[in-house]
Amino acid sequence: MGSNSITSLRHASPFRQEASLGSQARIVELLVKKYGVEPDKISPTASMADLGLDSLSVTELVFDIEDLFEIEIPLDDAEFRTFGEAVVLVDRYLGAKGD
Amino acid sequence: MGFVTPHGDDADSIFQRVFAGESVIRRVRSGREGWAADVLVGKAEWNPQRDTTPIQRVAMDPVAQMAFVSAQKALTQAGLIENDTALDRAGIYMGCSIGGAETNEQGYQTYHTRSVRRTKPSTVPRVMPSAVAAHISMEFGIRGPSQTYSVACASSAMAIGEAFRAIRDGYLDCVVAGGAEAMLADAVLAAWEALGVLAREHPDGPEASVRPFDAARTGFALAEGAAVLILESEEHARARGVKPLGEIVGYGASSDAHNLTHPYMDGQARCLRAALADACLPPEAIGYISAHATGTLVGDRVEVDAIKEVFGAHALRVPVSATKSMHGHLVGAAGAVELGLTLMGLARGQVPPTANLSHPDAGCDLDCVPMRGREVPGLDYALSNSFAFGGSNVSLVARRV
Repeated sequence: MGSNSITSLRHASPFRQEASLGSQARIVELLVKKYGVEPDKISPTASMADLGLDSLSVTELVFDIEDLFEIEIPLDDAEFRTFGEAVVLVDRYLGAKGD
Repeated sequence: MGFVTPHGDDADSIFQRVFAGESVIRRVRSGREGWAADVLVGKAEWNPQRDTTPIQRVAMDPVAQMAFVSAQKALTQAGLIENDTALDRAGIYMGCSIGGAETNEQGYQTYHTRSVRRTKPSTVPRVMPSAVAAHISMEFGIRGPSQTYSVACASSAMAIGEAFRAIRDGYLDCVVAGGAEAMLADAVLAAWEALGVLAREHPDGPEASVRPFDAARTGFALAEGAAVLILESEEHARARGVKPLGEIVGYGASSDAHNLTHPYMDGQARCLRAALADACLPPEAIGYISAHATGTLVGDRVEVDAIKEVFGAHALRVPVSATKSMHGHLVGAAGAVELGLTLMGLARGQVPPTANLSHPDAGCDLDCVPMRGREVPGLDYALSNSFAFGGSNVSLVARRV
């Protein structure tokens, strides 16, 4: 179920940068697998609350994202409201890392 | 009543398996590489993937998940989930001795072994023992006071006793009361091992290894799980039109003021007397005693002596059994699980057995209901003991309704 939806989201994605597709798919996978988010609900404009994540889950998500991408996002920079913003944030740090 | 125990999470089936004398103690490999050893435990038999959501599992350590699932079952059975107003004057009283042990262990591991000195943000709220009560309050809208008792092995018995008092004294109409414990984490098991109180495997297998009152006893098996009871005043239950499963009629508590780990007959006897006095009952009225009896030589014998001291000649007649022989020692949840079994036994006129009791210790010459449960027609009152490290004792008296 997860992989189909990830594929469909990729087709529907307004993200233009090819680079973000990899990180986007991996964050989707994390949200679906660990946080039980329904893949259909995930879109660039979906807020964390739309995805069913409360504040504690969002802080936990940042930690998981750091682990997943082997990046470090300082707490005061770890601010994103939507799924799209999260992907942009991750890509920024991945870019800085040189990936 | 709601349960998550090594005998599963269905109340009737748990009682039937216990009544049949079925031990579910098993061997697990525990410890880190090079240090691993076999340990006997009572693993909870449940399905968190089915009964909790992923977001709940982010916020809750398994100990809180077990408490939540038990509370959901208890509240559903009591018909309280939909009825909001009834929960305005409802409290939540839980027992838990050490809180989120698995999260604690993972947190330390991360901190000490990873180059990045950060642990998961959910660590603190998952570790705190009061999370067990807090999640139940939030999930089910229980808006009265929330209390968590940490009194080692007497935690949930004390939570239930204090809940009983709060209702009897008119402070609350209803209390979600019980306990939860989940500390089968490697480092915790190693610490218990170091105390020298854990059972060694019996030649007949893991199931035969916990042997309270038996001459071949070697200690207890640590177990995990939760049990939640819904306590309410008689008027409150009647007004809602629900049929009670049983009645709590007495609560006694005492401290040994003696030794941290060595039980003390005098303290236990004072506890038993206090519970009987609270219930306004003579010792002869008690038809069954659910013993604390973990399966250590000292613990079993001191408890037997305390029962003899308080019950006199009746001590030799009243059935006394140790269900820890089958589910292991649930520590902070033990009192709630065992009172739950006691209440089910009262309702059925059936007394659970002491499994593995094939060669009774001469120092434990009571009727310890060996091997198989027993039909006891006319069983009206029963008493459940929880005697903790620290010399904290609790006895609860229940009546068949």
